[in-house]
Amino acid sequence: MIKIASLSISLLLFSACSFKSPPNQWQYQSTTAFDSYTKNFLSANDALARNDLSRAIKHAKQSANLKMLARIYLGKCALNISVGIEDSCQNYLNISDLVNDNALNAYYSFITLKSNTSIENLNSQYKDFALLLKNKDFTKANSEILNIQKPTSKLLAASLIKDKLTQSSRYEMIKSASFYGYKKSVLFWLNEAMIKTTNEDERKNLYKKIYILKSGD
Amino acid sequence: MQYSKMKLAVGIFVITLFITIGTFLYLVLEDKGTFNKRYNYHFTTDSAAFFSVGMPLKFSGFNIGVIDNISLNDDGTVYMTFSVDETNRRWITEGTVLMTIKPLIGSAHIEVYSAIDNEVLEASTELIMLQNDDINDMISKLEPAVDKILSIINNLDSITSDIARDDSDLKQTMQNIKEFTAKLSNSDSILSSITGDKESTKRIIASLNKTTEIMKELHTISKNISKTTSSLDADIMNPASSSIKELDAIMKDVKQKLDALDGTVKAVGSYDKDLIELKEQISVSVQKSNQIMDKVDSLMQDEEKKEVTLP
Repeated sequence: MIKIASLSISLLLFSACSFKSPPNQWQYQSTTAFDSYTKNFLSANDALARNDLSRAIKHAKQSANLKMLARIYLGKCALNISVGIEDSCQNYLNISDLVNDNALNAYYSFITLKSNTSIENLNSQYKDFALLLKNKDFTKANSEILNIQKPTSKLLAASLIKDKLTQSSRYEMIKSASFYGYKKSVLFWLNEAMIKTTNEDERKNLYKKIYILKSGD
Repeated sequence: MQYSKMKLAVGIFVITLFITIGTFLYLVLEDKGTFNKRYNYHFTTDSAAFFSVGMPLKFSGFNIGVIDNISLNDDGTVYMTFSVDETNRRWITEGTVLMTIKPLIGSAHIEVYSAIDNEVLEASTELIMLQNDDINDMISKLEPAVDKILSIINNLDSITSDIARDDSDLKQTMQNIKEFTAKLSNSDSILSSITGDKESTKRIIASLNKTTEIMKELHTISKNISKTTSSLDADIMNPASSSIKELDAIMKDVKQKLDALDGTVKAVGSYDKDLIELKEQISVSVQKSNQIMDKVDSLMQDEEKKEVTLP
Protein backbone atom coordinates (compact mmCIF):
# COMPACT_ATOMS: atom_id res chain seq x y z
CA MET A 1 0.00 0.00 0.00
CA ILE A 2 2.85 2.39 0.86
CA LYS A 3 4.37 1.75 -2.55
CA ILE A 4 1.09 2.51 -4.29
CA ALA A 5 0.58 5.68 -2.25
CA SER A 6 4.09 6.94 -2.96
CA LEU A 7 3.67 6.25 -6.68
CA SER A 8 0.31 8.03 -6.74
CA ILE A 9 1.84 11.07 -5.08
CA SER A 10 4.72 11.11 -7.57
CA LEU A 11 2.21 10.86 -10.45
CA LEU A 12 0.24 13.74 -8.99
CA LEU A 13 3.43 15.77 -8.71
CA PHE A 14 4.19 15.05 -12.36
CA SER A 15 0.70 16.22 -13.30
CA ALA A 16 0.98 19.30 -11.11
CA CYS A 17 4.23 20.26 -12.80
CA SER A 18 2.65 19.94 -16.23
CA PHE A 19 -0.20 22.42 -15.66
CA LYS A 20 -0.06 25.80 -14.06
CA SER A 21 -3.24 27.82 -13.58
CA PRO A 22 -3.07 31.62 -13.66
CA PRO A 23 -4.55 33.37 -10.59
CA ASN A 24 -7.25 35.04 -12.72
CA GLN A 25 -8.36 31.68 -14.10
CA TRP A 26 -12.04 32.74 -13.74
CA GLN A 27 -11.51 35.39 -16.41
CA TYR A 28 -10.14 32.90 -18.92
CA GLN A 29 -12.80 30.35 -18.06
CA SER A 30 -15.58 32.90 -18.42
CA THR A 31 -14.22 34.07 -21.78
CA THR A 32 -13.84 30.52 -23.10
CA ALA A 33 -17.34 29.58 -21.91
CA PHE A 34 -18.82 32.66 -23.59
CA ASP A 35 -17.02 31.90 -26.86
CA SER A 36 -18.48 28.42 -26.67
CA TYR A 37 -21.90 29.95 -25.94
CA THR A 38 -21.66 32.16 -29.03
CA LYS A 39 -20.90 29.19 -31.24
CA ASN A 40 -23.51 26.88 -29.71
CA PHE A 41 -26.22 29.57 -29.65
CA LEU A 42 -25.80 30.47 -33.31
CA SER A 43 -25.54 26.77 -34.22
CA ALA A 44 -28.91 26.16 -32.48
CA ASN A 45 -27.40 23.82 -29.87
CA ASP A 46 -29.68 25.37 -27.28
CA ALA A 47 -29.03 23.03 -24.33
CA LEU A 48 -25.27 23.38 -24.70
CA ALA A 49 -25.61 27.12 -25.17
CA ARG A 50 -27.61 27.47 -21.96
CA ASN A 51 -24.96 25.53 -20.07
CA ASP A 52 -22.14 27.60 -21.57
CA LEU A 53 -23.88 30.85 -20.70
CA SER A 54 -24.54 29.80 -17.12
CA ARG A 55 -20.87 28.77 -16.76
CA ALA A 56 -19.70 32.07 -18.23
CA ILE A 57 -21.94 34.03 -15.84
CA LYS A 58 -20.91 31.86 -12.88
CA HIS A 59 -17.21 32.45 -13.53
CA ALA A 60 -17.79 36.18 -14.11
CA LYS A 61 -19.51 36.37 -10.75
CA GLN A 62 -16.35 35.12 -9.04
CA SER A 63 -15.09 38.66 -9.03
CA ALA A 64 -16.41 41.98 -7.74
CA ASN A 65 -15.31 43.54 -11.03
CA LEU A 66 -18.60 43.43 -12.92
CA LYS A 67 -17.19 44.51 -16.27
CA MET A 68 -16.85 40.91 -17.40
CA LEU A 69 -20.44 40.18 -16.36
CA ALA A 70 -21.65 43.31 -18.18
CA ARG A 71 -19.86 42.20 -21.35
CA ILE A 72 -21.50 38.78 -21.10
CA TYR A 73 -24.98 40.30 -20.67
CA LEU A 74 -24.39 42.65 -23.60
CA GLY A 75 -22.97 39.83 -25.73
CA LYS A 76 -26.01 37.69 -25.02
CA CYS A 77 -28.30 40.59 -25.89
CA ALA A 78 -26.44 41.29 -29.15
CA LEU A 79 -26.63 37.64 -30.19
CA ASN A 80 -30.38 37.59 -29.54
CA ILE A 81 -30.84 40.72 -31.66
CA SER A 82 -28.67 39.25 -34.44
CA VAL A 83 -31.10 36.34 -34.88
CA GLY A 84 -34.25 38.46 -34.63
CA ILE A 85 -35.08 37.82 -30.98
CA GLU A 86 -36.33 40.96 -29.27
CA ASP A 87 -34.12 41.90 -26.35
CA SER A 88 -33.96 45.17 -24.43
CA CYS A 89 -30.70 44.16 -22.66
CA GLN A 90 -32.38 44.47 -19.27
CA ASN A 91 -29.71 42.38 -17.54
CA TYR A 92 -27.06 44.81 -18.70
CA LEU A 93 -29.15 47.83 -17.72
CA ASN A 94 -29.50 46.46 -14.19
CA ILE A 95 -25.75 46.63 -13.61
CA SER A 96 -24.67 49.32 -16.10
CA ASP A 97 -24.49 52.03 -13.41
CA LEU A 98 -22.07 49.88 -11.40
CA VAL A 99 -19.82 49.34 -14.41
CA ASN A 100 -20.10 52.77 -16.10
CA ASP A 101 -17.95 51.89 -19.09
CA ASN A 102 -18.16 54.27 -22.08
CA ALA A 103 -17.39 51.61 -24.66
CA LEU A 104 -20.05 49.27 -23.27
CA ASN A 105 -22.61 52.08 -23.03
CA ALA A 106 -21.92 53.02 -26.67
CA TYR A 107 -22.28 49.42 -27.75
CA TYR A 108 -25.57 49.13 -25.83
CA SER A 109 -26.92 52.29 -27.50
CA PHE A 110 -25.79 51.00 -30.88
CA ILE A 111 -27.44 47.56 -30.70
CA THR A 112 -30.67 48.96 -29.25
CA LEU A 113 -30.71 51.68 -31.95
CA LYS A 114 -30.66 54.55 -29.47
CA SER A 115 -30.19 57.97 -31.04
CA ASN A 116 -27.53 59.02 -28.52
CA THR A 117 -24.94 56.48 -29.65
CA SER A 118 -21.42 57.72 -29.01
CA ILE A 119 -19.75 56.63 -32.26
CA GLU A 120 -16.21 57.46 -31.10
CA ASN A 121 -16.52 54.94 -28.28
CA LEU A 122 -17.67 52.18 -30.59
CA ASN A 123 -15.44 49.39 -31.86
CA SER A 124 -13.68 50.49 -35.08
CA GLN A 125 -15.44 47.87 -37.23
CA TYR A 126 -18.83 49.47 -36.47
CA LYS A 127 -17.90 53.15 -36.68
CA ASP A 128 -18.60 53.69 -40.40
CA PHE A 129 -21.75 51.62 -40.29
CA ALA A 130 -23.02 53.48 -37.21
CA LEU A 131 -22.38 56.80 -38.90
CA LEU A 132 -24.35 55.75 -41.98
CA LEU A 133 -27.11 54.52 -39.71
CA LYS A 134 -27.19 57.83 -37.91
CA ASN A 135 -27.45 59.66 -41.27
CA LYS A 136 -30.10 57.17 -42.40
CA ASP A 137 -28.08 56.32 -45.51
CA PHE A 138 -29.29 52.74 -45.79
CA THR A 139 -28.05 52.14 -49.35
CA LYS A 140 -24.46 52.70 -48.29
CA ALA A 141 -25.10 50.90 -45.03
CA ASN A 142 -26.07 47.82 -47.06
CA SER A 143 -22.70 47.75 -48.78
CA GLU A 144 -20.87 48.73 -45.58
CA ILE A 145 -22.20 45.59 -43.88
CA LEU A 146 -20.40 43.46 -46.44
CA ASN A 147 -17.11 45.16 -45.48
CA ILE A 148 -17.38 44.03 -41.87
CA GLN A 149 -14.96 41.14 -41.45
CA LYS A 150 -16.19 39.40 -38.31
CA PRO A 151 -19.15 37.11 -39.20
CA THR A 152 -21.09 37.66 -35.94
CA SER A 153 -20.65 41.44 -36.26
CA LYS A 154 -21.82 41.30 -39.86
CA LEU A 155 -24.95 39.39 -38.84
CA LEU A 156 -25.62 41.81 -35.98
CA ALA A 157 -25.25 44.88 -38.17
CA ALA A 158 -27.54 43.39 -40.81
CA SER A 159 -30.20 42.57 -38.22
CA LEU A 160 -30.17 46.23 -37.05
CA ILE A 161 -31.43 47.36 -40.48
CA LYS A 162 -33.28 44.18 -41.44
CA ASP A 163 -36.23 46.08 -42.89
CA LYS A 164 -33.97 48.33 -45.00
CA LEU A 165 -31.81 45.51 -46.26
CA THR A 166 -31.82 44.55 -49.94
CA GLN A 167 -32.73 40.99 -50.91
CA SER A 168 -29.19 40.41 -52.20
CA SER A 169 -27.77 41.49 -48.82
CA ARG A 170 -30.12 39.02 -47.12
CA TYR A 171 -28.81 36.26 -49.35
CA GLU A 172 -25.27 37.36 -48.45
CA MET A 173 -26.20 36.90 -44.78
CA ILE A 174 -27.63 33.45 -45.53
CA LYS A 175 -24.42 32.54 -47.36
CA SER A 176 -22.19 33.80 -44.58
CA ALA A 177 -24.22 32.14 -41.80
CA SER A 178 -24.39 28.87 -43.77
CA PHE A 179 -20.62 28.86 -44.23
CA TYR A 180 -20.08 28.97 -40.45
CA GLY A 181 -22.96 26.60 -39.70
CA TYR A 182 -24.91 29.21 -37.74
CA LYS A 183 -28.28 27.49 -38.11
CA LYS A 184 -30.20 30.01 -36.04
CA SER A 185 -28.99 32.88 -38.24
CA VAL A 186 -29.61 30.87 -41.40
CA LEU A 187 -33.22 30.23 -40.38
CA PHE A 188 -33.72 33.85 -39.40
CA TRP A 189 -32.43 35.22 -42.69
CA LEU A 190 -34.25 32.58 -44.75
CA ASN A 191 -37.44 33.65 -43.00
CA GLU A 192 -36.67 37.34 -43.60
CA ALA A 193 -35.99 36.68 -47.28
CA MET A 194 -39.22 34.66 -47.56
CA ILE A 195 -41.32 37.42 -45.96
CA LYS A 196 -39.81 40.22 -48.03
CA THR A 197 -39.79 38.56 -51.46
CA THR A 198 -42.55 39.25 -53.97
CA ASN A 199 -41.68 36.27 -56.14
CA GLU A 200 -43.99 33.34 -55.37
CA ASP A 201 -41.57 30.63 -56.59
CA GLU A 202 -38.78 32.12 -54.53
CA ARG A 203 -41.08 32.19 -51.50
CA LYS A 204 -41.96 28.50 -52.01
CA ASN A 205 -38.29 27.54 -52.33
CA LEU A 206 -37.37 29.47 -49.22
CA TYR A 207 -40.27 27.91 -47.31
CA LYS A 208 -39.13 24.45 -48.42
CA LYS A 209 -35.59 25.16 -47.23
CA ILE A 210 -36.84 26.34 -43.84
CA TYR A 211 -39.04 23.25 -43.56
CA ILE A 212 -36.13 20.93 -44.36
CA LEU A 213 -33.81 22.64 -41.87
CA LYS A 214 -36.43 22.54 -39.14
CA SER A 215 -37.54 18.94 -39.71
CA GLY A 216 -35.99 16.32 -37.49
CA ASP A 217 -35.50 13.70 -40.26
CA MET B 1 18.53 25.23 -23.18
CA GLN B 2 19.81 23.73 -26.40
CA TYR B 3 17.35 21.87 -28.62
CA SER B 4 19.17 18.54 -28.28
CA LYS B 5 19.22 18.86 -24.48
CA MET B 6 15.53 19.67 -24.48
CA LYS B 7 14.84 16.58 -26.58
CA LEU B 8 16.83 14.46 -24.14
CA ALA B 9 14.96 15.91 -21.16
CA VAL B 10 11.58 15.27 -22.82
CA GLY B 11 12.67 11.73 -23.74
CA ILE B 12 13.75 10.96 -20.17
CA PHE B 13 10.50 12.43 -18.84
CA VAL B 14 8.35 10.34 -21.19
CA ILE B 15 10.28 7.13 -20.43
CA THR B 16 10.07 7.81 -16.67
CA LEU B 17 6.34 8.46 -17.00
CA PHE B 18 5.74 5.18 -18.83
CA ILE B 19 7.83 3.24 -16.30
CA THR B 20 5.90 4.85 -13.45
CA ILE B 21 2.51 4.06 -15.02
CA GLY B 22 3.61 0.48 -15.74
CA THR B 23 4.86 -0.07 -12.20
CA PHE B 24 1.70 1.48 -10.81
CA LEU B 25 -0.52 -0.84 -12.84
CA TYR B 26 1.57 -3.87 -11.88
CA LEU B 27 1.35 -3.02 -8.18
CA VAL B 28 -2.41 -2.48 -8.35
CA LEU B 29 -2.96 -5.79 -10.15
CA GLU B 30 -0.63 -7.56 -7.75
CA ASP B 31 -2.51 -6.10 -4.81
CA LYS B 32 -5.77 -7.33 -6.35
CA GLY B 33 -4.25 -10.83 -6.47
CA THR B 34 -4.20 -11.17 -10.27
CA PHE B 35 -0.79 -12.80 -10.26
CA ASN B 36 -1.40 -15.04 -7.23
CA LYS B 37 -1.31 -18.79 -7.74
CA ARG B 38 -4.72 -20.48 -7.41
CA TYR B 39 -5.46 -24.00 -6.19
CA ASN B 40 -8.18 -26.09 -7.82
CA TYR B 41 -10.53 -28.48 -5.98
CA HIS B 42 -13.47 -30.48 -7.23
CA PHE B 43 -16.85 -31.81 -6.15
CA THR B 44 -19.67 -33.73 -7.80
CA THR B 45 -23.41 -33.05 -7.61
CA ASP B 46 -26.54 -34.56 -9.17
CA SER B 47 -27.59 -31.34 -10.89
CA ALA B 48 -26.05 -28.08 -12.00
CA ALA B 49 -29.21 -26.20 -11.08
CA PHE B 50 -28.42 -23.31 -8.71
CA PHE B 51 -24.72 -23.49 -9.68
CA SER B 52 -22.94 -21.19 -12.09
CA VAL B 53 -19.39 -20.28 -13.03
CA GLY B 54 -18.27 -17.46 -10.74
CA MET B 55 -20.57 -18.56 -7.89
CA PRO B 56 -18.81 -17.74 -4.60
CA LEU B 57 -17.68 -20.13 -1.87
CA LYS B 58 -18.05 -18.59 1.54
CA PHE B 59 -16.35 -19.37 4.80
CA SER B 60 -17.68 -17.61 7.89
CA GLY B 61 -19.42 -15.18 5.55
CA PHE B 62 -16.27 -14.28 3.58
CA ASN B 63 -15.73 -15.10 -0.09
CA ILE B 64 -12.76 -17.43 -0.27
CA GLY B 65 -13.11 -18.89 -3.75
CA VAL B 66 -15.21 -19.19 -6.90
CA ILE B 67 -16.50 -21.93 -9.18
CA ASP B 68 -14.27 -21.94 -12.26
CA ASN B 69 -15.70 -24.75 -14.35
CA ILE B 70 -18.83 -26.92 -14.61
CA SER B 71 -18.87 -30.05 -16.76
CA LEU B 72 -21.23 -32.98 -17.28
CA ASN B 73 -19.93 -36.49 -16.48
CA ASP B 74 -20.78 -39.54 -18.61
CA ASP B 75 -23.01 -40.91 -15.84
CA GLY B 76 -25.13 -37.72 -15.80
CA THR B 77 -23.62 -36.23 -12.65
CA VAL B 78 -22.07 -32.78 -12.70
CA TYR B 79 -18.37 -32.23 -12.07
CA MET B 80 -17.45 -28.85 -10.68
CA THR B 81 -14.09 -27.23 -10.21
CA PHE B 82 -13.48 -24.33 -7.89
CA SER B 83 -10.33 -22.48 -6.96
CA VAL B 84 -8.98 -20.64 -3.94
CA ASP B 85 -5.90 -18.45 -3.67
CA GLU B 86 -2.84 -19.04 -1.50
CA THR B 87 -4.25 -17.06 1.44
CA ASN B 88 -7.58 -18.85 1.58
CA ARG B 89 -6.21 -22.30 0.86
CA ARG B 90 -5.79 -22.95 4.58
CA TRP B 91 -9.59 -23.22 4.98
CA ILE B 92 -9.75 -26.28 2.69
CA THR B 93 -8.61 -28.96 5.13
CA GLU B 94 -9.08 -32.70 5.73
CA GLY B 95 -12.76 -33.36 6.39
CA THR B 96 -13.97 -30.14 4.80
CA VAL B 97 -17.51 -30.38 3.44
CA LEU B 98 -19.39 -28.03 1.17
CA MET B 99 -23.05 -27.15 1.41
CA THR B 100 -25.24 -25.22 -1.01
CA ILE B 101 -27.24 -22.51 0.69
CA LYS B 102 -30.37 -21.44 -1.12
CA PRO B 103 -31.93 -18.67 0.93
CA LEU B 104 -35.48 -17.55 0.20
CA ILE B 105 -34.13 -14.07 -0.38
CA GLY B 106 -30.74 -13.46 -1.96
CA SER B 107 -28.54 -15.46 -4.29
CA ALA B 108 -27.41 -19.01 -3.65
CA HIS B 109 -23.86 -19.69 -2.53
CA ILE B 110 -21.68 -22.51 -1.28
CA GLU B 111 -20.76 -22.57 2.38
CA VAL B 112 -17.47 -24.20 3.37
CA TYR B 113 -17.42 -26.11 6.67
CA SER B 114 -13.92 -27.10 7.70
CA ALA B 115 -11.98 -28.27 10.71
CA ILE B 116 -9.34 -25.57 11.01
CA ASP B 117 -6.82 -27.69 12.94
CA ASN B 118 -6.73 -30.41 10.27
CA GLU B 119 -4.12 -30.55 7.56
CA VAL B 120 -4.57 -28.47 4.42
CA LEU B 121 -5.85 -30.53 1.50
CA GLU B 122 -3.72 -31.11 -1.58
CA ALA B 123 -4.85 -29.31 -4.74
CA SER B 124 -7.12 -31.26 -7.14
CA THR B 125 -8.73 -33.20 -4.28
CA GLU B 126 -12.43 -33.99 -4.53
CA LEU B 127 -14.63 -32.69 -1.70
CA ILE B 128 -18.02 -33.81 -0.39
CA MET B 129 -21.00 -31.66 -1.31
CA LEU B 130 -24.12 -31.69 0.87
CA GLN B 131 -27.45 -30.43 -0.40
CA ASN B 132 -29.40 -28.12 1.84
CA ASP B 133 -32.89 -27.02 1.05
CA ASP B 134 -34.03 -24.07 3.10
CA ILE B 135 -37.60 -24.34 1.80
CA ASN B 136 -38.04 -27.91 3.14
CA ASP B 137 -36.40 -26.83 6.37
CA MET B 138 -39.00 -24.15 6.69
CA ILE B 139 -41.80 -26.67 6.12
CA SER B 140 -40.44 -28.94 8.86
CA LYS B 141 -40.30 -25.92 11.17
CA LEU B 142 -43.91 -25.16 10.33
CA GLU B 143 -45.19 -28.65 11.24
CA PRO B 144 -45.40 -28.03 15.05
CA ALA B 145 -47.35 -24.84 14.38
CA VAL B 146 -49.76 -26.72 12.14
CA ASP B 147 -50.20 -29.44 14.83
CA LYS B 148 -51.10 -26.71 17.30
CA ILE B 149 -53.69 -25.28 14.91
CA LEU B 150 -55.16 -28.79 14.45
CA SER B 151 -55.41 -29.27 18.20
CA ILE B 152 -57.21 -25.91 18.61
CA ILE B 153 -59.67 -26.81 15.86
CA ASN B 154 -60.32 -30.21 17.52
CA ASN B 155 -61.01 -28.53 20.84
CA LEU B 156 -63.36 -26.07 19.19
CA ASP B 157 -65.13 -28.95 17.47
CA SER B 158 -65.64 -30.88 20.71
CA ILE B 159 -66.97 -27.74 22.47
CA THR B 160 -69.45 -26.91 19.72
CA SER B 161 -70.50 -30.61 19.38
CA ASP B 162 -71.14 -30.70 23.09
CA ILE B 163 -73.28 -27.57 22.89
CA ALA B 164 -75.18 -28.92 19.88
CA ARG B 165 -76.13 -32.22 21.57
CA ASP B 166 -79.88 -32.55 22.36
CA ASP B 167 -79.12 -33.47 26.00
CA SER B 168 -76.53 -30.73 26.48
CA ASP B 169 -76.70 -28.33 29.43
CA LEU B 170 -77.33 -25.43 27.08
CA LYS B 171 -80.21 -27.28 25.44
CA GLN B 172 -81.64 -28.11 28.90
CA THR B 173 -81.39 -24.50 30.00
CA MET B 174 -83.00 -23.31 26.81
CA GLN B 175 -85.80 -25.85 27.26
CA ASN B 176 -86.40 -24.59 30.80
CA ILE B 177 -86.45 -20.99 29.65
CA LYS B 178 -88.83 -21.91 26.87
CA GLU B 179 -91.24 -23.64 29.25
CA PHE B 180 -91.02 -20.79 31.74
CA THR B 181 -91.63 -18.09 29.14
CA ALA B 182 -94.50 -20.11 27.62
CA LYS B 183 -96.14 -20.31 31.01
CA LEU B 184 -95.62 -16.63 31.56
CA SER B 185 -97.03 -15.68 28.20
CA ASN B 186 -100.01 -17.98 28.58
CA SER B 187 -101.05 -16.63 31.98
CA ASP B 188 -100.81 -12.88 31.70
CA SER B 189 -102.61 -12.55 35.01
CA ILE B 190 -99.40 -13.40 36.88
CA LEU B 191 -97.52 -10.78 34.94
CA SER B 192 -100.31 -8.23 35.23
CA SER B 193 -100.21 -8.62 39.00
CA ILE B 194 -96.44 -7.83 38.86
CA THR B 195 -96.47 -5.02 36.28
CA GLY B 196 -99.71 -3.46 37.31
CA ASP B 197 -101.21 -2.78 33.82
CA LYS B 198 -102.09 -4.92 30.74
CA GLU B 199 -100.01 -2.96 28.15
CA SER B 200 -96.78 -3.61 30.04
CA THR B 201 -97.68 -7.26 30.33
CA LYS B 202 -98.19 -7.54 26.55
CA ARG B 203 -94.79 -5.93 25.85
CA ILE B 204 -93.05 -8.31 28.27
CA ILE B 205 -94.77 -11.33 26.63
CA ALA B 206 -93.60 -10.14 23.19
CA SER B 207 -90.04 -9.77 24.51
CA LEU B 208 -90.15 -13.23 26.04
CA ASN B 209 -91.31 -14.74 22.72
CA LYS B 210 -88.45 -12.91 20.96
CA THR B 211 -85.95 -14.32 23.49
CA THR B 212 -87.17 -17.83 22.70
CA GLU B 213 -86.63 -17.24 18.97
CA ILE B 214 -83.11 -15.90 19.62
CA MET B 215 -82.26 -18.95 21.71
CA LYS B 216 -83.49 -21.20 18.88
CA GLU B 217 -81.30 -19.34 16.38
CA LEU B 218 -78.32 -19.65 18.73
CA HIS B 219 -78.87 -23.38 18.87
CA THR B 220 -78.98 -23.60 15.05
CA ILE B 221 -75.79 -21.55 14.75
CA SER B 222 -73.94 -23.73 17.24
CA LYS B 223 -75.00 -26.80 15.23
CA ASN B 224 -73.67 -25.21 12.04
CA ILE B 225 -70.34 -24.38 13.70
CA SER B 226 -70.09 -27.96 14.77
CA LYS B 227 -70.64 -29.14 11.19
CA THR B 228 -68.04 -26.71 9.85
CA THR B 229 -65.35 -27.71 12.30
CA SER B 230 -66.02 -31.39 11.54
CA SER B 231 -65.61 -30.80 7.82
CA LEU B 232 -62.44 -28.77 8.50
CA ASP B 233 -60.97 -31.73 10.29
CA ALA B 234 -61.97 -34.29 7.65
CA ASP B 235 -61.53 -32.48 4.37
CA ILE B 236 -59.00 -29.75 4.92
CA MET B 237 -56.63 -30.62 7.66
CA ASN B 238 -56.20 -34.27 6.63
CA PRO B 239 -53.94 -35.44 5.15
CA ALA B 240 -51.64 -32.94 6.84
CA SER B 241 -48.55 -33.50 4.67
CA SER B 242 -50.21 -32.45 1.39
CA SER B 243 -51.91 -29.54 3.08
CA ILE B 244 -48.60 -28.38 4.51
CA LYS B 245 -47.18 -28.29 1.02
CA GLU B 246 -50.13 -26.26 -0.18
CA LEU B 247 -49.79 -24.05 2.85
CA ASP B 248 -46.11 -23.62 2.05
CA ALA B 249 -46.92 -22.58 -1.49
CA ILE B 250 -49.56 -20.15 -0.29
CA MET B 251 -47.22 -18.75 2.33
CA LYS B 252 -44.49 -18.26 -0.23
CA ASP B 253 -46.91 -16.51 -2.51
CA VAL B 254 -48.15 -14.33 0.32
CA LYS B 255 -44.59 -13.58 1.36
CA GLN B 256 -43.61 -12.56 -2.16
CA LYS B 257 -46.63 -10.29 -2.39
CA LEU B 258 -45.90 -8.82 1.03
CA ASP B 259 -42.27 -8.26 0.04
CA ALA B 260 -43.38 -6.49 -3.12
CA LEU B 261 -45.95 -4.49 -1.18
CA ASP B 262 -43.37 -3.64 1.46
CA GLY B 263 -41.04 -2.35 -1.21
CA THR B 264 -43.82 -0.32 -2.77
CA VAL B 265 -44.91 1.13 0.55
CA LYS B 266 -41.32 2.00 1.43
CA ALA B 267 -40.79 3.45 -2.03
CA VAL B 268 -43.90 5.57 -1.72
CA GLY B 269 -42.91 6.57 1.79
CA SER B 270 -39.46 7.65 0.78
CA TYR B 271 -40.60 9.18 -2.52
CA ASP B 272 -40.13 12.78 -1.50
CA LYS B 273 -36.79 12.10 0.15
CA ASP B 274 -35.60 10.19 -2.92
CA LEU B 275 -36.61 13.04 -5.19
CA ILE B 276 -34.63 15.53 -3.14
CA GLU B 277 -31.62 13.22 -3.10
CA LEU B 278 -31.94 12.62 -6.83
CA LYS B 279 -32.16 16.35 -7.46
CA GLU B 280 -29.04 16.93 -5.36
CA GLN B 281 -27.18 14.14 -7.14
CA ILE B 282 -28.14 15.53 -10.55
CA SER B 283 -27.05 18.99 -9.42
CA VAL B 284 -23.71 17.62 -8.20
CA SER B 285 -23.25 15.67 -11.46
CA VAL B 286 -23.95 18.79 -13.50
CA GLN B 287 -21.47 20.78 -11.42
CA LYS B 288 -18.86 18.05 -11.79
CA SER B 289 -19.36 17.88 -15.55
CA ASN B 290 -19.11 21.67 -15.70
CA GLN B 291 -15.82 21.49 -13.82
CA ILE B 292 -14.55 18.91 -16.31
CA MET B 293 -15.67 21.15 -19.17
CA ASP B 294 -13.83 24.06 -17.57
CA LYS B 295 -10.71 21.90 -17.24
CA VAL B 296 -10.93 20.88 -20.90
CA ASP B 297 -11.51 24.50 -21.87
CA SER B 298 -8.50 25.61 -19.81
CA LEU B 299 -6.31 23.13 -21.69
CA MET B 300 -7.33 24.72 -24.97
CA GLN B 301 -7.70 28.31 -23.79
CA ASP B 302 -6.07 31.20 -25.53
CA GLU B 303 -3.53 32.64 -23.09
CA GLU B 304 -3.88 36.09 -24.62
CA LYS B 305 -7.66 36.22 -24.43
CA LYS B 306 -9.04 37.15 -21.06
CA GLU B 307 -11.91 39.39 -22.14
CA VAL B 308 -15.21 38.45 -23.74
CA THR B 309 -15.33 39.49 -27.40
CA LEU B 310 -18.65 41.07 -28.24
CA PRO B 311 -20.32 40.19 -31.55
